[in-house]
Amino acid sequence: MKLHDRINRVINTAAFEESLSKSGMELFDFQCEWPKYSQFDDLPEAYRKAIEAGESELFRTGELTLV
Amino acid sequence: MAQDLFHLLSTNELKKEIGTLVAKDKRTLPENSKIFAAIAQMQKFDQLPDLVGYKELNALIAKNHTELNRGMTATKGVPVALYVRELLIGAMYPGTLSSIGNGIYLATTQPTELILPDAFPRLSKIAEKYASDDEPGMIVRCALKSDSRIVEYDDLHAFCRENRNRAANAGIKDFGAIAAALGFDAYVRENIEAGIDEKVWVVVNRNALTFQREVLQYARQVLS
Repeated sequence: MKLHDRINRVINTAAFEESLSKSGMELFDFQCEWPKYSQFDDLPEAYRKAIEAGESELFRTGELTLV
Repeated sequence: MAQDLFHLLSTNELKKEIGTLVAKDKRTLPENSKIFAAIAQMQKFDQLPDLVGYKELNALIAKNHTELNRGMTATKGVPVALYVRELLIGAMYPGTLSSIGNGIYLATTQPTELILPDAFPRLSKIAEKYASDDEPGMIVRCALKSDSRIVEYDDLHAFCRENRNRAANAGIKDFGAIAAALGFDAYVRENIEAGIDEKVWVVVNRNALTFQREVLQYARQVLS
C-alpha cells in the first residue's frame, strides 16, 4: 500500500491526532511535512508512531482486519 | 472577497461561529471535515462553480487561467457519476481523504496521447491514475481563475505556524481549513506523486474554479 493511501486511512482517527499531539505536533505540521518522504520507513519517528497508532485504532474498532 | 478570519474575528467569535455551523451539519463526516465545511461556508467558498463548454474553457486557459484535472472513481457502491455531478453542480462535499489537507485535489496537465484535441487537449497523469484505480472512472477538466489567491505549500506552513495559537484556540487543525480561514483560494505543491512531474493543487474555494461540462469517461485501455 502506498504511503499516501496509508495516511488517508488513518488521518481522521482520534489515536493518530493524539499521538501527534503527544509529540508536540499539530495535524497541519504533519500534512505539510510527510510528502517530503517517499516511504514509511523514511518518516520521522513521531509520524510513524502516529500512523501506527491510527492503524491500531482501526484494528481495534474492526474497520481493519488482518487476513 | 474572502478575508483573513483570524484577524477579522476574535478567537472566541471564530470558535463560536464554527461551532454553530458544525452543530447544524448532520452529515456523517470527520470533525475536521465539518470544520473545513463551516469555514468554507463563512468564506462563501461553498458556492457553485462556473460551468462552461470546452470552447469557453479553452479561451479562459488561453487567458492564463490554470488548466487542471481531477480523476475520480466509484467507492463503496457510490457511482463515479454521482461524485462528478456533486462536484460540478451539487452541494460542496468536503470529503474525508485529507492527507495534505481538506479541499478539492487537482493536478496540472501535460501532453496526452488521447485523441480528444478539443475537449481534452492535455491530461494529468495523476488524474489518470485516480480515474483507473479500481474500475474505469471519470476525469473532469477545469481552470483555476487567474485572479485566485494562491499560496505555495511551504509558505502556507509558515502562515500556519504564525497563526498556530489562534487556529488551535478556534479548534482549526487541518491544513486546508487554515488556508480557507486565511482567505486563500488554493495551495500548490510540486511533485507529490513519485515519478510524475505535475503540480498538485488543493483548491479550498470551489468558486475559484470554472468547470468544463464535458467529462471524460476514462478507461486505461484507451491508452494502450
